[in-house]
Amino acid sequence: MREILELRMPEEEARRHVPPDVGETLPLGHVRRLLLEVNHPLVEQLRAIEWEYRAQGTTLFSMCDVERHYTPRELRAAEYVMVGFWPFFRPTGVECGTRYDDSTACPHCGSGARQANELHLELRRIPKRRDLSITMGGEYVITSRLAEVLRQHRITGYELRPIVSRGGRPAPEHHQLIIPSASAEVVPPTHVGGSYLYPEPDPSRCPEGHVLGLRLLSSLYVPRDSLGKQDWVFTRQKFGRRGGLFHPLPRMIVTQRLYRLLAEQKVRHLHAEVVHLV
Amino acid sequence: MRRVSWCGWLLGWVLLQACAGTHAASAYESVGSGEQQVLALGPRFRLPRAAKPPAPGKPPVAPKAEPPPAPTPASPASSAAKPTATQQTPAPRKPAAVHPTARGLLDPKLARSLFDQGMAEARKRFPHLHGKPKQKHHVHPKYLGGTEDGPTVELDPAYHQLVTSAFRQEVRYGQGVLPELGELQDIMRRVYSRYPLPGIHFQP
Repeated sequence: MREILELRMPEEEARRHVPPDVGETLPLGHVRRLLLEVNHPLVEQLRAIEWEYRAQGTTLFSMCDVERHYTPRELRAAEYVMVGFWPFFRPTGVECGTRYDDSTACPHCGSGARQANELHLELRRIPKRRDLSITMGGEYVITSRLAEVLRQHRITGYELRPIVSRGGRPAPEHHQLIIPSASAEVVPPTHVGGSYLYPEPDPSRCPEGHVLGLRLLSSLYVPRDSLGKQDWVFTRQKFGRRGGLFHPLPRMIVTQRLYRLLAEQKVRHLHAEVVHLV
Repeated sequence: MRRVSWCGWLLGWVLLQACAGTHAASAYESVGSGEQQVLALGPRFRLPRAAKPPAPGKPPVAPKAEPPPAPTPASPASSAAKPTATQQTPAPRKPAAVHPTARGLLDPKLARSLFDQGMAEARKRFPHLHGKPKQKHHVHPKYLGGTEDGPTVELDPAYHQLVTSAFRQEVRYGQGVLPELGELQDIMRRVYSRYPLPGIHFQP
């Protein structure tokens, strides 16, 4: 497994703090992007500089994300795999007429609002070449083709609901994918925080425990007995923060059997990470 | 509506004000001194340095920050959460002097000039978009947590594309996690200090 830190910073600052041959300047010429292994010596230097910026109430980086890359062998050897289907698409269900019942939502983090009607989407904006995709609001869309494959392989732990257009016209080619079970507990030593170089304080944590933090900064650790026997399960705790169309989202965990099936079906933009069982 | 709440709208308005400079004068650097001082849209917001830099051997301390969590064996970030004395720190910088009477004001002429430069750049980069019907630009981009009914500005499509590209270079599009509020403000300041908006930073 390789952990790669993606940093983006103003070019002017990069010239002061980073050697000129490290990273690339993005086309408009104002932003330098660095892709560094987390054990690169420059990471610790940049961490110290970021601490100084934070002490002054600002930040050096516009983006500071860590990504974990696993080899195919590691992924095939894992019992459970965390999957994601970024990037998202727009417009979201809320923008197209889907209603949510906020009365059940947590007043602190906003998670837990129930969908009150069918998922309305702008049908021509659903990505056509992707069997599984996600809206900016965290609604999952699956094609009928992949849904049929899942049914044939007797995959468990999911439900399909209809998708309709803004005007209420049904979309036979797509369904909304619902994962009813959110039983997987995220436990230490999973590391969650605001950013990789400055994890604390993280104001997005929910005092009720619904949201663990803004970003997942390490591999995911889950107790085996919290996963149940379904092929598809969400984590109980969520990640992220509420803002505009965004809201905190849980992570999706699948069994090795389902992961192989998705890989066989060449599901595009399938980001996979090993889940560590404790 | 679930996510288009009044607090989201309020956030959008506050950020709009921050970009407009009415509430966040410190977003801009001042140039010159005394009566001739002119507030410029600086390339980066810099607060004055702390009066006393962190002592050698001690990590810098963030104001109001809780202590970092106890290191965990499998969390690389937490194990290195505190910088050490041997690490390089940036050279001390002079604080930007902000004239008290100039706080909260922008130099519209400079903003106008930056806008003209941006338009020229946009025409060059996106000639196929230039001159088409104007598009609404959300001052707080929706992919960074802005609301659908947040404040918008009408822009030439080429300039709109340039501003959008600038945002997407600061933060990759399509990720499921929003930046922190502080990061977001810095990003907006940086982008709009290069590409100001007509009607917000100067009168068109």
